[in-house]
Amino acid sequence: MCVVIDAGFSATLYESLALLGVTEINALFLSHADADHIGAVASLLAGPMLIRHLYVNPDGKKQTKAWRTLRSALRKMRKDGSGIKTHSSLNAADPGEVDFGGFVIDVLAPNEDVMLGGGAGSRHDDRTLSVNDCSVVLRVRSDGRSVALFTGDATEWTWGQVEQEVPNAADRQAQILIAPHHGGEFGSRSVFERLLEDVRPRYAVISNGRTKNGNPQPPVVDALRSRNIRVICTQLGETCGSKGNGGLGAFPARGSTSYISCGGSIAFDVPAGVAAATDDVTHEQFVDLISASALCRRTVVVTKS
Amino acid sequence: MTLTAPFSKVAVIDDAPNMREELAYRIKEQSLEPVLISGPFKSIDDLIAEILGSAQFALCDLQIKPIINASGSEVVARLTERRFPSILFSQRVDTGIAEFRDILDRIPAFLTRDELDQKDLRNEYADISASLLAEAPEKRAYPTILRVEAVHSDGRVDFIIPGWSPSEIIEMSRRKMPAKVADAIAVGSHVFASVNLGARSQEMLYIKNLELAEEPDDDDGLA
Repeated sequence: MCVVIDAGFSATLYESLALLGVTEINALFLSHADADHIGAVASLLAGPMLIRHLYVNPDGKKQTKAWRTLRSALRKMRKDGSGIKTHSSLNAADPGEVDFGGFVIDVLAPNEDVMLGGGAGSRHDDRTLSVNDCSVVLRVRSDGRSVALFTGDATEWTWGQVEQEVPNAADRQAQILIAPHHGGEFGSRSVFERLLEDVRPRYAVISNGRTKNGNPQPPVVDALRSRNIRVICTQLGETCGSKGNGGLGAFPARGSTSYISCGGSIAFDVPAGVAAATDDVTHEQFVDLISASALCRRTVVVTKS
Repeated sequence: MTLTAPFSKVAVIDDAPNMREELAYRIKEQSLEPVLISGPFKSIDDLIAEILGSAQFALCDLQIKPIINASGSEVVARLTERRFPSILFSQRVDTGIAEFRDILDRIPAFLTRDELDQKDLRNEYADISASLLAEAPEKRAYPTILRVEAVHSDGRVDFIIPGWSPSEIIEMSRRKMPAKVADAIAVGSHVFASVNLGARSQEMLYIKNLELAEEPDDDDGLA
């Protein structure tokens, strides 16, 4: 069983699937239509991989170049007779949840009202919604436990939607938080603190590009560290050090050949629904080596009112 | 010729006599023996045979028309097929790649003349010889889709390869594409191809097996 949620670019996805011996993807979920989330998906659709289901909301920006490229690749896959089923609705009501047998994926945002209202570009709550506002938030559950929360490029407004959709804070918990927007801009610090208070993750994975937008942002890392959340960035932040570890884990990492990986590609074992990073120790040891400059090692002063 | 043979002779294929002499001087400086190849040759096979029979390493200029009616890139690609280590060089790296993007997987190194002058040729020989023995991950081809961003009057086509980078322009000459693709492409159209998506830079990125893609289906539910 294989499910892919977003895929930016480079050969890393192909290489990882090959390492896992995957020849068939049961479902592809796309959080939104930004090029850094769908580039490698367009490649997958252009290739011979068997893909059963594609879950995605129509592009709010309408006909961006990246979106047309994805659709052109999708046309080939359909023409080749793969039988891929496209689900052009991905919100909290439709499909709501998708059961894959060993695990379930829940859609926590956007809600149906937002998408029926036009999604990105439409007016809602006295604001024009951005593509990031409409980013899909997915929760993965296994063995009755909430394992991971994939937030895409969600904003503070998106998190407000999640709070409405899942009113009981205890139900918003997840052991692994894939941090919003690559550890970058999210919105107000207080809403991010609220998110962390709700989710209470053990791990925070930051899927960042070393040279992209200065991510991870120091306040984001500070907020995570102040709650003793284990922070794992895929690439080494520019201020964290000059040379990464090249990816110590078993999986291919995009930054490995350039030695700009920090956590690289991060694998988790989830026996009985309890998540544990498989390369935890090696990553910790590497960060210890650069502790003088690593954002996730600097002292964070916690103030409580 | 085997890759473990003692390395002493370096073939120089350059159309300009003064450049040949200058390179010969650099090679001697590194206690190696230059073999100056000036031709002319009737066929690329003749030139390849001359190189294989006289040296263990080759430095080949991109422009070698007086020596043979072919590009230096084709010569280096043919040498690579024979697992013979070689370097392609030019006065400027950024002016030529579009013309041999389709065979870049068989160009072990493409350097400016200045870069070449600064190289330790023994190290280059060792690195390139090693690279010929095993396929590096960054050279592995994957199926992908390309979007045409611009078509220039001089025959260059600008692509975006979303599976490699959402923003970096990759140039390829229309002359190196199948006629059916070259004739039909326009800004905004798409092409399927095999590309080494693990390439670290656009100077390593090759594009092969191009096929025209159809435009999106209006009834795909995603319009």
